[in-house]
Amino acid sequence: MFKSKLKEALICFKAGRVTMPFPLGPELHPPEEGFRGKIEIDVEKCIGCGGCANVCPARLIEITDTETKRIMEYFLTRCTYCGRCAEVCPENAITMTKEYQLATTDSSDLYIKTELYMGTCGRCGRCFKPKTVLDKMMHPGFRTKAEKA
Amino acid sequence: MGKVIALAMCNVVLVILVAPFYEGVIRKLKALVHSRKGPPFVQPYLDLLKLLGKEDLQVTRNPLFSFAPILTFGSILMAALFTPMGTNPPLGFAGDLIVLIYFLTLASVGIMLGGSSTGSIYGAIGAGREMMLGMVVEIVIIGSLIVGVIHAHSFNLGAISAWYHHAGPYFSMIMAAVPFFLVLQVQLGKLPFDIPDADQEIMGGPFMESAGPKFALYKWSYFAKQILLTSLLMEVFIPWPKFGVIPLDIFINLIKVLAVMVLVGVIDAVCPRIRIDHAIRYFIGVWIVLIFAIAFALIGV
Amino acid sequence: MWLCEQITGNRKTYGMNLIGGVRRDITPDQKPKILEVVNQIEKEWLKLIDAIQGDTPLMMRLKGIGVLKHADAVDFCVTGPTARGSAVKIDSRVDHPYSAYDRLVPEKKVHDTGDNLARTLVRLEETLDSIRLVRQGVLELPEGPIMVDIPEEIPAGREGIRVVEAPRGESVHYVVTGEDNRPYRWKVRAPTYMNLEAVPAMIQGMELADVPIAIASFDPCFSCTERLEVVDRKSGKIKIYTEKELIELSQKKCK
Repeated sequence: MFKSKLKEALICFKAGRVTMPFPLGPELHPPEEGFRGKIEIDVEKCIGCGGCANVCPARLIEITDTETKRIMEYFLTRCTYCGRCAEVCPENAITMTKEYQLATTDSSDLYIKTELYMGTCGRCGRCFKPKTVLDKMMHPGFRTKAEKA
Repeated sequence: MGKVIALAMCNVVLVILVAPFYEGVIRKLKALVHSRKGPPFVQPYLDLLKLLGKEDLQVTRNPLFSFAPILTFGSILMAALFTPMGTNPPLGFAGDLIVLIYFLTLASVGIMLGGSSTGSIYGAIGAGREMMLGMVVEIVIIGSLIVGVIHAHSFNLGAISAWYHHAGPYFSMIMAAVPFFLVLQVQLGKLPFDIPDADQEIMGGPFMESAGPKFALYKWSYFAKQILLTSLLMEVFIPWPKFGVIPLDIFINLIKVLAVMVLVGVIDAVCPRIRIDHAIRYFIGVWIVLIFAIAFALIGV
Repeated sequence: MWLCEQITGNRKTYGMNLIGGVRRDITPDQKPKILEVVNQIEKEWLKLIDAIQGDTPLMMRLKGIGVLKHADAVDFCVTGPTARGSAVKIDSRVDHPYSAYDRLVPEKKVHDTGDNLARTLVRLEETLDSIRLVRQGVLELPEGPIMVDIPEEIPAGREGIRVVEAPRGESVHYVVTGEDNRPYRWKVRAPTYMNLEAVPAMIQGMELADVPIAIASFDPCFSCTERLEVVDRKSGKIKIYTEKELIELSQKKCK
């Protein structure tokens, strides 16, 4: 029995100290390429297709259409960091950064709001909103706030 | 007279103030075995301070519930006055070995009372385990100290220590030191024998309902027992070196206690907890060793 | 875990499976890293197994305690290492092979004493077996696409049921597809649901001190047995939330 205890103690001592000085010291294993951290949105590239809202499993992207604008709100407190929005975006407007230290007391740190101006009618110059349900379905990104289908 | 009071105060101060430091050493050692950094050495002091400032919940109307932690801590402080810690025990003229053991047993009784007075089933189970273990273990304490008594022909701890210091190592005393060391693991609430203490099995046992200051007193009495019982072990069974200068002797005693605490800590870190019936069988085996030690002492070896 | 982060992007929530394939491929420079980590794990694991063999206090708490007899194991339909520790030879990877398990065939490790030690030994040996499978998989990984072409619209109203081997036993997934490429119903039957039923047979007549060890020896996941019901305190009626209401509640909470 004593021999096995000695062996166990030796195994433990061999590992040394594995406590990392997080978050005050240098990181032992910084995240590499392909790490799925907080998302970042490049508004210039976004075309408002709504593909990210369609595919998000946590249902945290909400799209509202006003008279002239399409407003997309991202409530990142619910984010599971799965990365589907970044994969599905056709313009690569959503990218995943390497930020993972996201604990905060202010939930507005984890809230992104983008506003995009909608296309205007060629003849009269006013912005248009589709009328019938069939039109709505043809219009991409139909997950609006009003009807949570 | 003044010397007696000074020694008494010194003992009590050591027990209250220095004892949590040894617990910090044991925790650091446990963390070392677990490959982590561990809490700082002063962590038990901070724990006790925090616990003393918390709200004192009154769980039952039974006055025993409030009285039990005071009984435990008070009896440990009284026992400190009768323990040799490098020198003769301060109140050695007033009481001897039997009084010391009586006060140590009173501390166990305090834990049992506190556990069973709340009416919670876990407290009752914990108190029962404490009783079973106490019955088996007290005999070992008395037995191993009786070996010294037989040789020195006196129940006074100071006399036993002085005799052994002059007479050199005896085989029966060495044989009796080992059971006493095993008892140390039980009384200090360390694995593999921390059965009545905070268990994952019975959710804290007798200490489950005590909150805040009561829990602080229980914990403090366990810390104090560390320095008390280890000093007893060192003084009776390994009383070298001794110089006759009192502060130096006390300091040397503290160093010896540190060495024993390191050993206790290493055993604590690598052992799993043993079931109560296995522990009782184990200690009945230890009784047999003790009987041999007493037999050797009677022969005079 | 650092290796998993390099391969999948996260240490624990891998998120690699999609309908039709996986999201990422293993690049050639990751393969030697995988083999190195696996070799290291195997070395340390063997040392650990060797060290605990002679540990008497540990064996006292494991041998002969929490015995689940073979007849009880079959009656309660336990699965996974709990069953394999009681001489029931089942393993969904071998009995109903899926994904690549027809080429990477695991071995069924069975012990027949049915106590804590048997279950622990089953898990220890299965770890070594999994290391062998990982090595074989990395070396034999064929080239090719990582995703199959699936149609844009998955038809609604279709059912699918499949048995998968989780670390704790057999896990059953049942899906009914709905409209809009979303599932209408997805039910998971976790293995702990049945393993917990066998606990009374396991602990009958044992001491109180042995109960936590016996329960922990088959590694229950208590959150897999949770089912949610909302009871109105005043009227006593039971309400079950629909999908829309649950989504609304969670979104309201996070704003």
